[in-house]
Amino acid sequence: MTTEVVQQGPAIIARVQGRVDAYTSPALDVALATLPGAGQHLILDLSGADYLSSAGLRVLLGLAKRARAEGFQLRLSGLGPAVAEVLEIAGFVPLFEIRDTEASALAELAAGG
Amino acid sequence: MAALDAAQSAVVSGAAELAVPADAAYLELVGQFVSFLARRRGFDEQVVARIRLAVDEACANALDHGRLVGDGNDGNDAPLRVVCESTADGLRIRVRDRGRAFDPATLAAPLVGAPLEKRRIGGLGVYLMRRIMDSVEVWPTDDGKELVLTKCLDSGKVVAGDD
Repeated sequence: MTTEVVQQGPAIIARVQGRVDAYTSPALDVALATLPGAGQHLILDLSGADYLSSAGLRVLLGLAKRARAEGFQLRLSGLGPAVAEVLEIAGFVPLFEIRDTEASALAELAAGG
Repeated sequence: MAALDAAQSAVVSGAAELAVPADAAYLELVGQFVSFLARRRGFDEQVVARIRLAVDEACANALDHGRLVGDGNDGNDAPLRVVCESTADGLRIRVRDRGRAFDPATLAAPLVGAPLEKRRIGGLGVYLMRRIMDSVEVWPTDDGKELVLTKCLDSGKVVAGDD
């Protein structure tokens, strides 16, 4: 699993590649811990994530709680069918703003969210 | 008794067993092992992915809690063992570790459907297993416990959105 972080306009985009499980999720947690910077929003693009277990769900839940506490906007984008299904089974879909693509999430944030 | 049926119904072909070090780095290998056998048993790819997830959760749970034996033997050197058996109606997977047996039905559900502020970080693994598999049971063994997961080929279980 790798996480690539880029800045585009008002958003920090974190692109996750590979498998997010109990082995790799601590690294994802660390990679996201200081994101986004002050006044920025965060897009977590999962189009390269081919697997997500409950360990990954815990990272996402922690991120959503932090977004609310710190007041930044969070978008998830690019969920493949397997990852989307895990979020659905866990009842996570209502907790997140989920967009089809990184580009659509970015356009929305650039337009003022 | 349905629970005994699920755990003990006859194996119709040879069991396959994988033993790996008790290290999360091996979860991916366990997933490949289980996927191969589920596919071979005739499950479609979507169900194969679900079974892989349930077994991954069972193994991650074993790694988190499977060493708590109160006899002075902390089991740190014990491998994680995963046994897959083809049964007449599907697949049965046993995940064995040195932990204490517990009843998965007694664990609190993780407030699925609750708003963000009430969501707890935890309990999701057992919840996912129970949503995906036809049965989830835990049995004591001589040196710990085994978590037994079953999935039927004709399972009508719909896992998403049927709370």
